[in-house]
Amino acid sequence: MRFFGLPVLVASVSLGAAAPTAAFAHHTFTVKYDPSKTVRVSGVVSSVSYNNPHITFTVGGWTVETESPAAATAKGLGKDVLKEGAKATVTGWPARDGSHEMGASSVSISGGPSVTTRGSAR
Amino acid sequence: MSDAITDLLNSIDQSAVAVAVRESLYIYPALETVHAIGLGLLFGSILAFDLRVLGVHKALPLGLLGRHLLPWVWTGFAMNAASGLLMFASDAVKFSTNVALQAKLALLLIAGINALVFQTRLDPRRSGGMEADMGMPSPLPAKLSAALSITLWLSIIIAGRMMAFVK
Repeated sequence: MRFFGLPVLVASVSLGAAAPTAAFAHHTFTVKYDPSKTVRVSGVVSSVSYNNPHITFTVGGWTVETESPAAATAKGLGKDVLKEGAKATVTGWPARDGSHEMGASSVSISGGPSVTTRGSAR
Repeated sequence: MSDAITDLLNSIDQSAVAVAVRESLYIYPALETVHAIGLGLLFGSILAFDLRVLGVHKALPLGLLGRHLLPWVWTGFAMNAASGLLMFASDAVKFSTNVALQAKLALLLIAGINALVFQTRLDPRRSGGMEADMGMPSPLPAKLSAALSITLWLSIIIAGRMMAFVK
């Protein structure tokens, strides 16, 4: 079979190089955050970066990463709700490197919505 | 980094276009969609041409295939250059130090040089005339260039995808 010559060899080598990344290519979350641990913090929201591709904000000394502005808005966690000064309780998975950063699994705004941002870390 | 470059990146970051891409609910997903479609056109067309140079389906006339595919390569390239630049602008300072983006741009440069060398020196249509067109195998240098092209473009895709996973 001529067809399965050089191109397939090239593709195989390239895919081999890609394989280690393919396992976690779908989301940053399990690369950066440890799904075996959970963190829960409450406090006043500050430093809101309501930006693409992912929203980040600070609460209780933790930097929280969550989803895209479009997805968050669709779930009721709009810019008018997730804002500086809001009181929030956030549950999430902490960064593997031990820094005070987490990927949010749920965000609950005092007097506002409680939103599951991610059902699982994967 | 020099002050001039830092100033430039900061001014890009603060431009109205960058703010719109960063803050709009729709622009960023739209740009990602354009980038995915452009990638399909660009890599699909390049792969189809390179495979023919490597000897797959030699019955396809190389000249005709090239004329059919090249406009789609450029269409995909234009879509991805435009969408890529806009997404870069939305977070220019941060992206400027992203090692995966730096690798991607270096690989793009090499892929461009490889394509230029192929078109100006190695293209079987230049020396082989109708014979190459009508099913003769390509000379080895042309095949090596085609194999390098496939490898480079796959690497560019991998590097681009890795941008989200490095600091």
